[in-house]
Amino acid sequence: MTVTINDARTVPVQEDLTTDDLRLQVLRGLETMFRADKPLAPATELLTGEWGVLNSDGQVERPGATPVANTYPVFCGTERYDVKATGAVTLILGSHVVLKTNQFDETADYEVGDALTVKDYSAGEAHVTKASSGEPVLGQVLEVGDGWLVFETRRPGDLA
Amino acid sequence: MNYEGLDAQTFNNMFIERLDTVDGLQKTAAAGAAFVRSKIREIGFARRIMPPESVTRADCQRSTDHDTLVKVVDIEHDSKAMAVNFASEADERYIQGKRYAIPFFKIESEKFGKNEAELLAYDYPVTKVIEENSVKDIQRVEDEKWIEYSEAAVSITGKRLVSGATAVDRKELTSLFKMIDFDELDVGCILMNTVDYDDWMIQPATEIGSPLASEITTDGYKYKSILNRKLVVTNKHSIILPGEVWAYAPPAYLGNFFILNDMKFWIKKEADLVLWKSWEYIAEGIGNIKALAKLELNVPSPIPVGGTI
Repeated sequence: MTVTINDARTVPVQEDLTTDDLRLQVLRGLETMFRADKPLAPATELLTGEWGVLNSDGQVERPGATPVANTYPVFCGTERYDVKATGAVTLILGSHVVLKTNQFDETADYEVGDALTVKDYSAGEAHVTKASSGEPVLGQVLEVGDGWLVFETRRPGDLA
Repeated sequence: MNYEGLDAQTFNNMFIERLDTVDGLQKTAAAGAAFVRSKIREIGFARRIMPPESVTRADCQRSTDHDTLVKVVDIEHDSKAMAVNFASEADERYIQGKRYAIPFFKIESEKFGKNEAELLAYDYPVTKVIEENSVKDIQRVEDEKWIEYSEAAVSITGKRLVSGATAVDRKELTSLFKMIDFDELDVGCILMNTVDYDDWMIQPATEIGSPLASEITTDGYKYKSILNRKLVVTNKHSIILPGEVWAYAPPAYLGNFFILNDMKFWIKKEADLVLWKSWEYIAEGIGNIKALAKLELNVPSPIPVGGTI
């Protein structure tokens, strides 16, 4: 993987750098959550704020169209130098945390209490979206903002 | 090296004689560099908006892909407090800082050449040639790049106010300021060209009060600020078009301007031909794109070409 110049953050700057990075903010559970590095499956890139599936080889791969329970938020993604060095992303494993993110399926309408799951909905990245009947619930909406969601994670196991 | 007390022709003669020795060449180059450095600080408007900071190689970062340097500068991280009940607690924040990269580039004057005998025909010192060519060219490029980056910033933020007003006045300026004030910033500096500055000085007494109007009529507008904001006026109308007024937040909230080492001055005598040029390595950039705004007035053609007013 080539380390490229981040054009938006190189003069002339094309991004408002004074605003919060909302890809993934942990609002609750920062001190107690379990973070663990898991190796990436070959040719896999997952940015911070995306979600990854832990496959049978113990490697992290991109979620597919069918959501599965063992899917976890990426706390440190492949945009970072340390991740490039280790070849492993840092996941938030099975912890009850409250997350704020602007990485979600924006084509859906959300209300507080909606069940969330993670699957490939053809957006290029794998984020939370509304769970359909029978799909594993990975989160539940707590707050809906303009371009962001706050949700709590749920232990995989419940089905929508 | 003291240039005072010498007439121009005597100085030019001494200048040429010194170039015949290695030691003289070095001394002349050093003297030229000192002269260039002291003058350029007074000229460029970008330097008056964003005072440059000297850096060395140790302050810069390299690229893995090519042999150039950048300086990576942090952007202050946001933070907040919140009101909570006694038994509750505030949100948590895992800090993820942002930075921006400011690439260094070179600005170089043309390479000037002159026959030593022809140099003697000048009635002004060689340092004037350096000032009027090298220095002016270099400072102009700094300003052009500054405005290029400013235009890039307002094209993203949309802080561009188009007004039907034909001259700058306090109302237009305060409208400009509000675009910066709204983001919890303050305006530290106003940049306009001499055409708009001329218009500023013809505001009627009913608008600015009789004492100031009388004073301007006699002495011109002699203050270095407008509405308590630093005023920078430039005559570079090809960079700042008439009717364009820029407002910038103070330097700490705006961006950076770095100079790598010092300005370099090179001089050489090849037979009877004297050659010289100067250059510098700079990095300038706007890190906070919300910290500036532009006003575009509907100023009529400002260039008097004769006719009836």
